[in-house]
Amino acid sequence: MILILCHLHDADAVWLYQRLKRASPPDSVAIVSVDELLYARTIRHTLTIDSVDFYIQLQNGLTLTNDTLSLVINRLYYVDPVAWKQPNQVQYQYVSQELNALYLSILHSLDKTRLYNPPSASWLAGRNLSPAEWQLLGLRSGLAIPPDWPPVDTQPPPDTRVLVIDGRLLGELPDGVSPDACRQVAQQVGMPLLELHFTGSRFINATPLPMLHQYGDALIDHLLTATTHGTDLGHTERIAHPAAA
Amino acid sequence: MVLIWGIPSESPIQRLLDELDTLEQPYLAVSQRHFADTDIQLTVDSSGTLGGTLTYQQQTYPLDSITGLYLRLTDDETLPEFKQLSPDDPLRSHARQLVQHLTLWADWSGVRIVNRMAAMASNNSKPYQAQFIRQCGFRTPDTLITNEPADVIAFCRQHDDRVIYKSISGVRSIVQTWQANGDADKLALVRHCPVQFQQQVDGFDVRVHVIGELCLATRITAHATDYRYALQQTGESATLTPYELDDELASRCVDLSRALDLAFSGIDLRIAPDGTVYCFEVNPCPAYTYYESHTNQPIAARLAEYLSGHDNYYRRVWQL
Repeated sequence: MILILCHLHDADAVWLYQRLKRASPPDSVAIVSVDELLYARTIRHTLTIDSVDFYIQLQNGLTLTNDTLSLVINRLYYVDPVAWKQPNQVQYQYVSQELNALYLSILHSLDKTRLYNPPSASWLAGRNLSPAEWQLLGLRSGLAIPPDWPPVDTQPPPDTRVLVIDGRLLGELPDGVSPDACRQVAQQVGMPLLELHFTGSRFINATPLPMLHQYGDALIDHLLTATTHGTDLGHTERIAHPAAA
Repeated sequence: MVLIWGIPSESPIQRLLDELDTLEQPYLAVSQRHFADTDIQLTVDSSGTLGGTLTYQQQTYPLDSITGLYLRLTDDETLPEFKQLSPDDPLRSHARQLVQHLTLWADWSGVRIVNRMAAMASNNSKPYQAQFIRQCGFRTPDTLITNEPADVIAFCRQHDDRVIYKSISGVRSIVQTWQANGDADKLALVRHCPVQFQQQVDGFDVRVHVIGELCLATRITAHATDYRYALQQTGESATLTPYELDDELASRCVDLSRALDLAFSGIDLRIAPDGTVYCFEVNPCPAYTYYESHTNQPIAARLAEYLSGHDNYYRRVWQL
């Protein structure tokens, strides 16, 4: 199963779900919001001498385990237990930290070769860098950046977006920008899926939460193919996504 | 020069400053409370090398004169000077930007640092950290995190009702023994928020402080479930004594600290009667003075040597 984890307002996750679902047999693609995870019927995460496992059963009956997932698109960045907000602020903060700690561990336990993107200790969606840090990393990787570094935190919207996915570039690269430098930025932060933002040919920012719809069929094809290439790790049920098998 | 940033009255910082004095190493201690008198200006050259200046109480220092950095930051919101600011006071954004620039420089300049802010976050999730611990060859106690009461009952049965529970996150919690009968009424509460249960492991506790590639270990003898609260749990204080690690175990501790990108860490071990070494967690910002004051182990001295790149540190690593 391809699993998309997202927040309720994530229109790009919904777009991705609809496009993948259209290209796939029934029940082979699922989209799960953070709220469904919050109200899951059963959550079980175990660490034993032999294994690290999880079992999540949602209220709609959908069951998630490591063995049933062929690919995970992780667009979670924070688990907010809103139901705890009203009763008590201290308990809300405690529950919030506990749930984020739990999902960090569960996401980390997923096979990294099937996960876009792995979480980091400080952010469920991956490395959480400021625009100044992205630009510094870009500069060190060979990209041109604006002259007024460090930038203010609020960046103007980019005029070009380029997606790096598994080292492949989707979208139109601005003139003079090195594709290898873009790949290197993604590689350095350990994120197989990263959107790079440019103003002119200058690199201004990056995000692991891209505007997926901009990459259309090329992205869908890549994800469906990704479920078939080099992914047989001994779990026969995960060898191939049915649409691409 | 070594830069120390935090609350200078805290004992880990005080002890470090004492030892830097003893080594006659230059340092600058920046009080986080004096954020209004502190500023960092950052620059970058065309190759991506960071530079800039630190201004503190009217003195300006080039950042490239700083070779070692010790961070022990507290949340701005807890600082009295910050709390008294009105919501729209520009000093609030100044204080935040200051920490952002400090973090950026600390993480990307290549300075010898204890510890990177991003690395310290691993302690925010015990099971996440446990996955690194396992990769470094340590046992971790069987662990169950669940919102399902039946799972808890089965786990307790599996471990003969010798189970503890504690927070999943880095929130400080007192480790408690789960009482199968007495705590039965609490069981339904796990439905509201998953709880972490762990197999109770027999043995004695060892705290290992890893400093770069060196280890200083302390044995803790206590009858309490959580030795930090031994007095309140058992009426008796814990006893702390220096402990000698064998080379293989010391090497694994250094590997674990490195795997978590921590130059300085406090690793909590329990040595079982059969010699199996369990690791509970790794503290990325250890309040080491508790162990030092009970044993006279030279933790602050080793830390000062490491941060200043002193010859003594390398002599000890290379056993010269």
